[in-house]
Amino acid sequence: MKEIKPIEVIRKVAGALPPECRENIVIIGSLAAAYAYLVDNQNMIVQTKDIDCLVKPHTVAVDKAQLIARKLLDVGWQRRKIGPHQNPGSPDTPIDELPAIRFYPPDNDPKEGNDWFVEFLTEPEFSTDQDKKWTRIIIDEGHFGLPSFRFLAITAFQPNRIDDLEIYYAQPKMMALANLLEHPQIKPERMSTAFAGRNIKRSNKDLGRVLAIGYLEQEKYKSDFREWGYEWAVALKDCFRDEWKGLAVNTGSGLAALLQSDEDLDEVYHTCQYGLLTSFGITTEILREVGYRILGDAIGTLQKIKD
Amino acid sequence: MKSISYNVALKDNRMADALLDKSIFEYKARVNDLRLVQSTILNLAKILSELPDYACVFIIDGTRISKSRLWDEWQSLYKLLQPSILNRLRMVVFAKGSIIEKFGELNNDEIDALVEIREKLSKNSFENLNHKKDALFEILRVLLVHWFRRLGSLQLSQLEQISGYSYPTVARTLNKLDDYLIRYSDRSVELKSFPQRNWLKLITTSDEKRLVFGYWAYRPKSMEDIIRRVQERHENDIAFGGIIGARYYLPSINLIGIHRLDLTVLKWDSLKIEILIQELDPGLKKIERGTLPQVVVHNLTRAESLFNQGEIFNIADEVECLLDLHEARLESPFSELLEHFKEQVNR
Repeated sequence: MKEIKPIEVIRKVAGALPPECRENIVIIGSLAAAYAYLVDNQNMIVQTKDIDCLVKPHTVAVDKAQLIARKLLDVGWQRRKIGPHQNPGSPDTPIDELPAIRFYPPDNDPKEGNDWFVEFLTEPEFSTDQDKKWTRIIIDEGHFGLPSFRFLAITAFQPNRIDDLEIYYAQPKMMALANLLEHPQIKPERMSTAFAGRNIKRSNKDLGRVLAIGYLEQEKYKSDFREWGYEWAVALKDCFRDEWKGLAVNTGSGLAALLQSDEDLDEVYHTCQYGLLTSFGITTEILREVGYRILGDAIGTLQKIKD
Repeated sequence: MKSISYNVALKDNRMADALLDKSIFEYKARVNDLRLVQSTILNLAKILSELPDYACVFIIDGTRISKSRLWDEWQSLYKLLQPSILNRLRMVVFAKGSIIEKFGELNNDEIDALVEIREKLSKNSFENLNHKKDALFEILRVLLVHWFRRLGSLQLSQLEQISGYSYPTVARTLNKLDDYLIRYSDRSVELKSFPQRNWLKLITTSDEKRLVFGYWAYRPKSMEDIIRRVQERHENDIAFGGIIGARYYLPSINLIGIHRLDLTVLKWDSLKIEILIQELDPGLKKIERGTLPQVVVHNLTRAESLFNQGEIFNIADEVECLLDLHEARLESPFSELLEHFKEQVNR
């Protein structure tokens, strides 16, 4: 995990993008959350490794991703060659075996696996797409893949614009909703790489993000989480139309399970302590408290609207 | 429908919260700890092993435990309990008075009786909290409020009605206050002066006599948010006391900020109080040793609230607000407000 200053990294990424692509980029993940809450404090540090950039809308994702990849490679960004499918594919490479577009910035050492890197994704082509899908991107170096996940449409719903950089960052509450939808239960699958030295369940990492966002929201804005419920309902209706009520039913059941499990909550604490909340004095009980507020106010409101 | 009996003694002096024919009902409110679920189920399993003709229904009235977690627990019973016992065990979860989940095979009679049993037992849990109810404490408070408001004498029948005590109890209690009372020929009474001795007794024992529910959070929400949520409820049987009440009665009182919110409710059962707290801030927890409450709910046990109608919301009565300040160890504002009330009477 790398300690970074969010604003510096965002400036670096935005500055390297082709100007005509900036309006198609939404920064998502921990960097977006850090920017949303910590931008006032230029010295605030968070720990993260992957800087996720979503290319939208899907209709232009291929063209824009090709332009972006070309430009970044031309100015010295370097491909990240870690994990499976490291080499660019060919026309014969099955789409789900293509390498993702992941680049280290020019001044980072690609052999130093701990440095931050930028990764590109896109939103799903159809709202009914269920699983991970890949979109083929072709540049001179070969074929790459742009992954999309079902709930990325929610993540990138009505993002906020960073005016001077001309790019967008996801609303943290929408990232929280996407993670809640993705994990209606604590799944046993663990992350492929250790998180600050611990082998963490993927569900705990993602639901931990929900709690970290909730914590920052209440610390910075003293927000009424019931408003999240209203905005979530709008986003769900917009992204999933007739399906939205079915999705709303189970929203939060994974979080409820997490709050009852000391073992899982301890993993969540670890991800927060060595992630977004690295500069805050948190405890598992403080995270549990935030969780109950999200569950009672935000999810409770969403359920009422659904009914 | 078959009749339901409550608090029935079973074999070995065990008690059933309710009994319907051969179905034993065990009631627990606000079950937030899975260990309580586990221990209750094991106790019920023991009863079932001793009473082979009976079934047991475990009613959970309000819980933060997720349904999936409860289902996991229920599934685990298949490994632990013999089918002959498990087949006679059921568990039902209520939320805000409605059934939200059932475990095991309930018969029709049990299903028909569930809502009535829950309602009765949830009220019992409120009444059980009243064990320290004290007629002198209640009646003195009513007399003081009446005196502070300069409303003149009170008929004994009014005292009965407001306090909820019977005539003999009211009459017996008034005898203890005789030194401070003016008695009129029309069976009415009023305080002739401030009952200093009884007042001191009242404030020194109020911690034991009042029904107080205190809550806290690691990272408290803003009081403005919580106050707004109380107002949104538009309920007549809830009022602000403590600091807000003191400011209502004496706007110039020396109190800065609101570090603790005192609410007064009239004869609520504990489940209703829990639901209120959940709606005010789902992050609030019951106070533990060494923690200071940020939100406190005082449950009045008398029949009438004596609330004052403020411009926007109800205000708890004068004595209630004084006791709140005393309980919060706000000694200086407490004395200031008391003197203000006394001066108003003598003006």
